[in-house]
Amino acid sequence: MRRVPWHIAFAAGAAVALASAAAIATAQSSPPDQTAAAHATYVGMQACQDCHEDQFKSWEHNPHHGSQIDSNPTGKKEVECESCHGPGSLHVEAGGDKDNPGFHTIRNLKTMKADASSEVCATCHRTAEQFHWKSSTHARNRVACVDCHAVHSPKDPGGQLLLQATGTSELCLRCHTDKRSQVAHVSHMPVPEGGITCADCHNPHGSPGPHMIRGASNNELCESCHMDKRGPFLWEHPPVREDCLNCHEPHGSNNDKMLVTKRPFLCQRCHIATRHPSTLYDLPDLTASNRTRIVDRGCVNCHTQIHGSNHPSGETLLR
Amino acid sequence: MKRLRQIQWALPAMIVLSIAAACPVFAADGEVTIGSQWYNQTTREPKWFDEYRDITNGPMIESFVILDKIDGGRYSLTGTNVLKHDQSEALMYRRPRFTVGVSYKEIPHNLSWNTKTPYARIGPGVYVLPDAVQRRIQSDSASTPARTADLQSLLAGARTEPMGFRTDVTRALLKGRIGNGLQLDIRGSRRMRQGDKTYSITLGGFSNVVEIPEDINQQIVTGEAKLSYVKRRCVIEVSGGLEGFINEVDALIVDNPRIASDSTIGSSRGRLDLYPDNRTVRGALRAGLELPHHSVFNAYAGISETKQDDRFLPYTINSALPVFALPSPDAHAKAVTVTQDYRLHSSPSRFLNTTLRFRRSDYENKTAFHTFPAEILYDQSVVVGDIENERFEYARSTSGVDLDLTPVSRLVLGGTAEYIWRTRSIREVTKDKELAFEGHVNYHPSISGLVLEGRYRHGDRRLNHTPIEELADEREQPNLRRFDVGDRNQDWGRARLGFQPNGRSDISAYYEYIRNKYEDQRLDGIGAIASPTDTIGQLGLLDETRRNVGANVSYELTKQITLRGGVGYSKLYTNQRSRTSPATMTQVADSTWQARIVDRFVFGNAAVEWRPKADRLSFGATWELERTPTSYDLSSIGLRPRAQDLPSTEYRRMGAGVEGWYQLEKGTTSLGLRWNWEEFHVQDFQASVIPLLYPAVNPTILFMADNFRDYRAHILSVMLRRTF
Repeated sequence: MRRVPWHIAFAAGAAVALASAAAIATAQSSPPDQTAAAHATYVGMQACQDCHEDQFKSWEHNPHHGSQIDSNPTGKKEVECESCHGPGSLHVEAGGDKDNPGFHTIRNLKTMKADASSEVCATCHRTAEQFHWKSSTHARNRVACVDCHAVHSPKDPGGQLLLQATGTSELCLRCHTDKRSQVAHVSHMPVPEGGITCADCHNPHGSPGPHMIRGASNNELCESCHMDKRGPFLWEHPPVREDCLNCHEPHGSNNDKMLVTKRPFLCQRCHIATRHPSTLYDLPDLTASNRTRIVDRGCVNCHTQIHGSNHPSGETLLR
Repeated sequence: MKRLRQIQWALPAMIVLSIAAACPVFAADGEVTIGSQWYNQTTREPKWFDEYRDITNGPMIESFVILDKIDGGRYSLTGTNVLKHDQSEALMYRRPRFTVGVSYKEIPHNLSWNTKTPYARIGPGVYVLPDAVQRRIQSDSASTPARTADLQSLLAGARTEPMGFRTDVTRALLKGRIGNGLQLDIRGSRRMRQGDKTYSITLGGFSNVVEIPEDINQQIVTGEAKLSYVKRRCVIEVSGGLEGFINEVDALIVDNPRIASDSTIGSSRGRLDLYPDNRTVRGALRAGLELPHHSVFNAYAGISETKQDDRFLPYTINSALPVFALPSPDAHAKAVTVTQDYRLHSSPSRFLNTTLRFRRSDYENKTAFHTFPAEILYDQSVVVGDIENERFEYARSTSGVDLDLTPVSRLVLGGTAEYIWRTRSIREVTKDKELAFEGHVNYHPSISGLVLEGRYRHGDRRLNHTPIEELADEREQPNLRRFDVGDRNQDWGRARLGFQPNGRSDISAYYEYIRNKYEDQRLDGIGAIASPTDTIGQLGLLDETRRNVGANVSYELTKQITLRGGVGYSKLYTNQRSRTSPATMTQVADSTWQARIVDRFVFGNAAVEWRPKADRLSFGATWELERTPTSYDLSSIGLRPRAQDLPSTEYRRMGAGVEGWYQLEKGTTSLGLRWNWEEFHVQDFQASVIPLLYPAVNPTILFMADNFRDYRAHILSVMLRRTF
């Protein structure tokens, strides 16, 4: 019997799963009880000021303040409290009485489920940086916008990014604690020093690339700053062209240039044919003559153009 | 000079302070922190201490923030380390429907303050030695004490040439809502990189290598515009951009210390081609469509074309060698990258989330083919014969489905199935495919604040064939399997615990395990396929295992005291096997050797914050330790003498700091004092004991001694913070 190519089966299975999910949803899902909220009306932001004085103070320099949007649910152009928190008439009428059902008709993004609260932000933030949010790893893991952003009390200097921490990297490292130790390796990118941040390489809102990187591939990302390595070269070094991460560990390593291991062992993972690439370099070689391959940059002492060469005599990456 | 430096500091400091002083008058809000610092370092050494920082004695503007309204809009002006070489400033101006911003940042990368070179720079990328020295060394016989003595004498006069470069990044953006549903986002950047770093060049095989400064004077310019349109359930975005890389130094030209005049046995100079200019045009289209049942479909298609047509250098700079014609004035190099990404995400109910996705990235190399009549290695050895360049290109496709179920409110069960297939040209493996499955569980038990997370992934990558013939064509060992294109079994697991029992404490811990086993099962137990005498089996990287474990704690002891701490440990074990061969490749087991390298990393930190009078007085103290021992266990079969392990390496850094702030005037003025201490220890046969001339007998390399060094450092800072 001729076997069906497994990937076709895989795609078909996935399609069936998705269709089933949709069918289940039709049968099971029911809208949340919005009865009370449905009767609330928009009352304007002045009604909020009496009770929420702190939020009003910080609102003055908030990037949302004064901005005009096209899809404002309040019907006004400018962003106000109710643009995010929903119509507030019943909440105002409750006068702070938490036993009054009307009190809870206001949206509190911190207590809402992650996807529901993020949906509120996505009313306006649907393009550019946030385009891929819904299918991002963060969204899948139920990270909400308000887990990282503090709209009313940002901690970043000037509060223009509305962050929950004093800096972007500091914010990311709260959850990605393993990376906190990785960027502390002796060979590291200038993340702890603030030269770059996690968000320079990753888009925490999602991206079409792997691992939410700001590039379609690892190389495209790395080459956006290290454009000298982009080539294309006359003589390419294929594993370099295919993936920088074959040799480099971008979050930090114990080795020079954030290499995954020391040279010459790194090079000898792939080159072992004859003569010097195949030689074992051990302790006696540290003092022996003519052993240029184990000290300093190892093989790259001579094969300087390891990322590729454009020299007519550069086939062996010496020129 | 000192006075000039003081003026240079005093003037801008006064300007910023005047602005800060005037801000209250104009009703601006903000904060500025100024001060002065003194540092001391036992050995001037940038590695770690100021590798990416500009640490100087004297006054500083540590940070400032100014927020105000102007002409119906709002602006923010922020900055850190103003006028130092690690400064950053940003100005953002927001109007109701658009935002304009500019920012500037300097990122130093100091490599060494101690490097030395006997070379003199006479132009961009051109380094020379005195002719007399070259002639004298040339007249010495090779491998004689006289030559060594002459080289030592040359290096005795070497001058200190600090190595390092700085990247200055300027960015600008304009974004706005230009019409009903239409948004425009325009960004541009300029990245200047200037300075030097150590580079090397061989001027005659292994017997004559010199390390010299590489002049860096590079510029990257980018521009991008995005236009998006949002209409109810639909989002469309079109973007286009230009990028350019300009290298002002095309080549590195270096005098040969051993040869004064060109001859057929060697060149008086060497010439190395530095990175060529390139330019890229890119465009992309994104579309998002909201579908029924809380579903969304996102599509992305992007294309970019990079061209590189830097003029070829001649085959050699050696005037005594024959001249060969170049087949073309430049490489006519061109590469096209096409990326597609499609995702269908659906959350049809609160019990279920699914994503169906497909991504493909193609790197198409359209560089012209050239046939070179000769090749001249290190400006010395002429290899005559038609030498052709090759085009390397590849494609990578990933399709997958993610499914998350929430059977009960506190439990999420998820699964992913992913299929990755890759194709490429030139290399011994042209096709491979990987099937991976991942499962995860996320559990919030009824105990308040507890989160348990587990994740496991297994991937199985297989080649489409056994690449024996292709490796033979490359004149490589037939039993070599290159790790990046070889069979691979990957296991990855991760467990995480988070616990926030109350608003005062936060505990988290994680464990991660990754194992890559690069095993070609067709070689297992049967020895070599190609050679019956080879009983060792697979060569190359055989397996690597990484384990990471760590924990972090934060605890608010009282309203006044908060404690924080963390520990981390990671261990990376790699095992690779290789084989020594003379000029003619041998496949005998007797010449096999193996390297087992263990990289460890120990990390710990602790901090305490104490606010005895919350509105008046606060203290903080920090401590951290990083230690990275690595061992190199080498073994061999039949090699004489048997392999001897390389010495273990270790990098260790410990730092501590205390900081105190006293509020002089409530809500406006505070005085701070900060002291930081740091100790660094290094032991690395490859990076901490490199001499200028190596080895001691019959030296073959002139290094710049770009070494890591032990140091101990203190920084004392006094600061004044004004809030307005």
